Amino acid sequence: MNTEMRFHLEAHIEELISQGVPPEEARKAALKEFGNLEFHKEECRDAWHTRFLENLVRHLRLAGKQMLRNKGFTLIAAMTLALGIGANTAIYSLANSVLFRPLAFPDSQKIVFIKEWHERFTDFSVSYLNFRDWHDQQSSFTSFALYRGQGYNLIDQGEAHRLRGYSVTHEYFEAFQADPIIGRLFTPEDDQPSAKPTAVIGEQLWRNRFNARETIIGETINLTGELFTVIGVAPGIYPIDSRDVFTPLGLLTGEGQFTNRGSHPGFVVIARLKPDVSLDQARVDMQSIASRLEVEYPDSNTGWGVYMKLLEDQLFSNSKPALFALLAASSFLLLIACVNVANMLLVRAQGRREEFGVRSALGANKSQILGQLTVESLSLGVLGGAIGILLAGISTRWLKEIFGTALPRINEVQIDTSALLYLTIMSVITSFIFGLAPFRQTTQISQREALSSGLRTSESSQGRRWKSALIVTEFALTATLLVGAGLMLRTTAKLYQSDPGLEYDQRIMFSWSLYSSEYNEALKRIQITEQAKQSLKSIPGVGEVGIINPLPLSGSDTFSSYYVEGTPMPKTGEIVTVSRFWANNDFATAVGLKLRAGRFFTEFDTRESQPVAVIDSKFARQVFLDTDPIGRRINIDGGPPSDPNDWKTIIGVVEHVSQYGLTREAHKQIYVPITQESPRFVSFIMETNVEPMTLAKAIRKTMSNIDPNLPIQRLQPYDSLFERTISNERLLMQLLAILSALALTLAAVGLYGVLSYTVRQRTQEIGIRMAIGALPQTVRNLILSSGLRLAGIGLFIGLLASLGLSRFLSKMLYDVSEFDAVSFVMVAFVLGMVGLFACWAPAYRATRIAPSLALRGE
Amino acid sequence: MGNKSNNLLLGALEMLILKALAIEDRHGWGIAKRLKQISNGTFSLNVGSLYPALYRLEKKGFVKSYEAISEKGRDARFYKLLSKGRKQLEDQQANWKEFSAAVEAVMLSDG
Repeated sequence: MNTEMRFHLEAHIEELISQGVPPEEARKAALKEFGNLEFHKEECRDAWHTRFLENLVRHLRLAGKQMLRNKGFTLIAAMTLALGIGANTAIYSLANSVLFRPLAFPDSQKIVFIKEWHERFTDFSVSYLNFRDWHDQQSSFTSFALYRGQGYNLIDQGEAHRLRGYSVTHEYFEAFQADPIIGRLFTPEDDQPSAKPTAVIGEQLWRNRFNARETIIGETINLTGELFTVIGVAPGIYPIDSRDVFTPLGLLTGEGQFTNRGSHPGFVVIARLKPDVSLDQARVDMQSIASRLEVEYPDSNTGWGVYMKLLEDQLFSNSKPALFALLAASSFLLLIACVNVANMLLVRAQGRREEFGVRSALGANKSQILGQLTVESLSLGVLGGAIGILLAGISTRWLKEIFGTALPRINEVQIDTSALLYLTIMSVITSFIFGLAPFRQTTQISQREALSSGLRTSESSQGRRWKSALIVTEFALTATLLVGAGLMLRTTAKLYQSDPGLEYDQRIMFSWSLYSSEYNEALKRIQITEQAKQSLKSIPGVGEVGIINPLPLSGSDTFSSYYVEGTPMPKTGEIVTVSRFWANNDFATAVGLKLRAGRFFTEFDTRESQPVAVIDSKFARQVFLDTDPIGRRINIDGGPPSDPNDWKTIIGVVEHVSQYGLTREAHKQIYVPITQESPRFVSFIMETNVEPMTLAKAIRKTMSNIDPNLPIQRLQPYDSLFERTISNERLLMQLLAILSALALTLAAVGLYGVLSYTVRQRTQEIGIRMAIGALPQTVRNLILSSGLRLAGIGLFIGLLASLGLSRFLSKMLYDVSEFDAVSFVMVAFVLGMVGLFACWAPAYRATRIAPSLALRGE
Repeated sequence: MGNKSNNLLLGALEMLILKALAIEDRHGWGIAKRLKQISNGTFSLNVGSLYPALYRLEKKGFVKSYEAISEKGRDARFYKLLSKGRKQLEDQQANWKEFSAAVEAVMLSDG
C-alpha cells in the first residue's frame, strides 16, 4: 500500500517535471495535492479492515493518556479493583493449596485412609488382629500399611528433646510411593520383633537437628533410652512431614495389645488402591471381610465395620466449609469492587459523552468506540491486577501467619502459577464486567446531541437506572457478606461465653514424658511426679499444680471399657466405653473443675488405700440415671475384676469437660488418681497469678533439675489450647469481618459518589426549587431519601438472599441459628447507618446550593 | 452507512474507475490520469478517495490487483477488471443513462 502511493506520488511529480515545472516545486505541488499521506494510508487500511493491531496500539495510547489525565480517578479505580482481586487471589491461593492441589505423592487420589467403624463412634482405631486379617484377605490395594502415633525422647548431647513419631509397618512409605531423600526406607526384614531397631527420620528433623548431615545414615540415635540405627531420611511432604521420626511397628508386635482382637490401641490404616480399583469397589471388598470377621469373632467384632475415605478428603474435609465460605465472600468483594468501578466509569462516561460525540461526528463508528472502551477498561483491569498481585502476596503471608497450624498444608500456600492464572482471568473478566456498563450509554448518544451544549445537565433515565441498579447490587452483596460475618461473630461470642467445663485463663501448661527404663516401676513414677509437683509449686507465681493425662481440651482420648457392679453384663457386641483420665488430687482445683457431688481425690488416696474413681456428670446421667452414683463400684477394662479388692469406688461427680472443643460432643468421662494408676505421659496445668509465660524459664529450669533426660514439651499458656479448639470459627469470623468491612467501605464510597454526582447533575433543578421557596430540609430529605431508598432496597434484597446463603455456613455455626435474628438486625442497623453516613454529605451539599448561582449556570 | 446521495456519489466514482479499467489494466496513477484526461480535467481524483475505492472494488470482487512493472520500469500495482466488475459496469452504465436522462429532462424543462 505504501509503495503504491509512493509510486502514485512519484509519477505525479515526474509528470509535473515533464511539463516543465522545476523538480522542487513539482514535489511541493504534488504533495499538496496528495494531502496528508498518513491520513490516506489510514483510510485505506480502514477499507482493508487490517487496522486491528494499529487500532489496539492507538487505543492503548489513548487509554494511557486517559489514565494519566485522570490520575485520581485511575488510582481509586485501580486500587478498588486491586483490593477485590488481591483478596480474592489470596483466598484462592489458600483454598488451592489446602483443598484443590493434590498431595505431592504420585496418584495421591489413590491413597486411602481406613479405620474401623461402629455406629457409636463413626471412626475408631483399628485392632491389630483385624488389621492382619484385612491385610491378608483384601484384594483392592497394592500396599496396606498400619501406623500409630508414637512419641519419643531423643537424647542428643545430654539434652532431651520430645519427638513426634509414627510407628509404621514397612508398607507405610510404599502406600505414599514416597522416596527417601537419602538412605532407604523400611523393608519387611526391618519390620520384625527380632529385627535390629532401625529408624527413618523426617526431613525437618534431619535439617534442623542434624544439619542435613549425610553421614547420619548408619549412626545410632537414642530414642527414649533405646538405640536405633538411622537408615534413611523421609521427604518433608505433607502429611509425612508432620512427623520427626518413624520406627517399624513390627518391633513391638510381641506386646499384649497386639494379641487382643478387642483392643483398639490407636492404629490407623493407610493404603494405596490398585490402579483399576475404585474406592467404592474397595469398600465392598473391605466390608465383606469385616462381615466375615463379625461372624468369626462375634465377641470382639459384632457391630464393627470399616470406615474409609480418600486420604485427601479425610485430611481436608474439616477446612472445606470455612474455605468455601471465604472463597464465596472474597468473590462477593470482587464483585462489589467491579460494581464500584463500573459506577465510576458510568459517571465518567457521562462526562465523556461530548468526547465520544465528537469522535463519532468525526467518523468513529460504534465498534471503534467499543474498542476504545474495552481497551480502557482492560488497561484498568490489568493495572488493578498488578497491584492486586502485590496485595495478594502480602495478604498471603499474613494469612499464613494467622492461620498458623489451624489449617493443614499451610506452609505450602503460595502465589503460584495457578493463582496467577486465576488472577489474570479474574482481572480480564472483571474488566469486561465493569467496562460494559458505560458502553451502551456512551454509544447511544447522537452526534448532534453530543455537540449541543444543553446536554450537560440532563442525564438519560436509563443511565440513572443503571447507576441505581449498581448501588442496589452493591448493598445487597455487602449485606450478605455482613450477615456471614455477623453469624460468625455471634458464633465466636457464644463459644467464648460457653463453659467447656473447666477454666483455662491464667494457667500455664506443659507435657512431660516418663518413657525411660528408669521409670518402668509405677512407684518411681509416682515419686518423681510428686517431686516435680512440689518443686513447681515453690516457683513464685505458681498456684495449684494439676497433673493430668490425657490433656483436657486437647481432643485426645483414652477409651476404656467398664463394668458397673450390680448391672447386667454387656451383651455381645455391645460397646460400653468411657473416656479415661488420670489425675492428681489437686487437678480439680488447679483447673477449676466443678464438683457436683461427693469429693475429688485427696492425698489419702494412695496405692495402699481403696481404689477410687470420679465420674463426670454425663456418666452419672447416662449410666446411673436418677440414682446416686457415690459409693457404687466400677471396674475399668473388662467385666468384674478377678480380685474383689480391685473394684474402684466412685467417690465424686464432676462437671463434663468438652474434650474436643465446644463444637463436638465428647464422651462420658472417668478420672482415676495417678497415685493408684500411674501413666507414663502426663501434662501439668498450673494456676498462675502472674502473666503465665513469664514463668516459662523457671519451669524449664525446675524440670531440668528433676531429670535432664526427661524432656518437657508444649510449654504454653493453657488458654491457647482452648483458643485452638475454636480457631476455625474465630479465623473465619475475623476474615469475614475484614472482607465485609472492605465491602462496606466500597459500598459507602459507591453510594457517596453516585449521590454526589446526582446532586451536581441536579444543581439547576435544586436551585429552582430553592428559588421558589423549597426549605433546605426539604432539599436535604429529597437527596437523602433518594440515596437511602437504594441502600434500603439493596439491604432488603441482601437479607433475603442471606436467608438462602447462610445455609452454607450452618456447619460452622455454634449455638446460633442460620436465621439468627440478632445478626440480621445488626446487619440492617450497620448498613443503614453506613448508608445514612454516605448520603449525608451530598445531601448537605445540596442544601448549600445558592439559587442565583445555579440559575446562572449555563 | 451514510445516506443516499453519498451512495450515489460513491457509486459514480466506482463506476468511473471500472470504466477506466474497461479497455486495459491500469495502476492507480494511470486510472487517475485517464479519468482526468477523458473528462478534460474535470475529474481530478483525490488519492484519498481513489485508493479506498479501489480496495473496496477489489473486496467486492469487481477488480483484481497484481504486481507488475510500469511503463517507466518501476514496480507498480495494476488493477484488472473482472467479469463480475464488467457486469457491474454494464448495469451501472444503464442505470446512469436512465438517471442522467431523467435529470436532463427535469433540468431542461421549464420548471
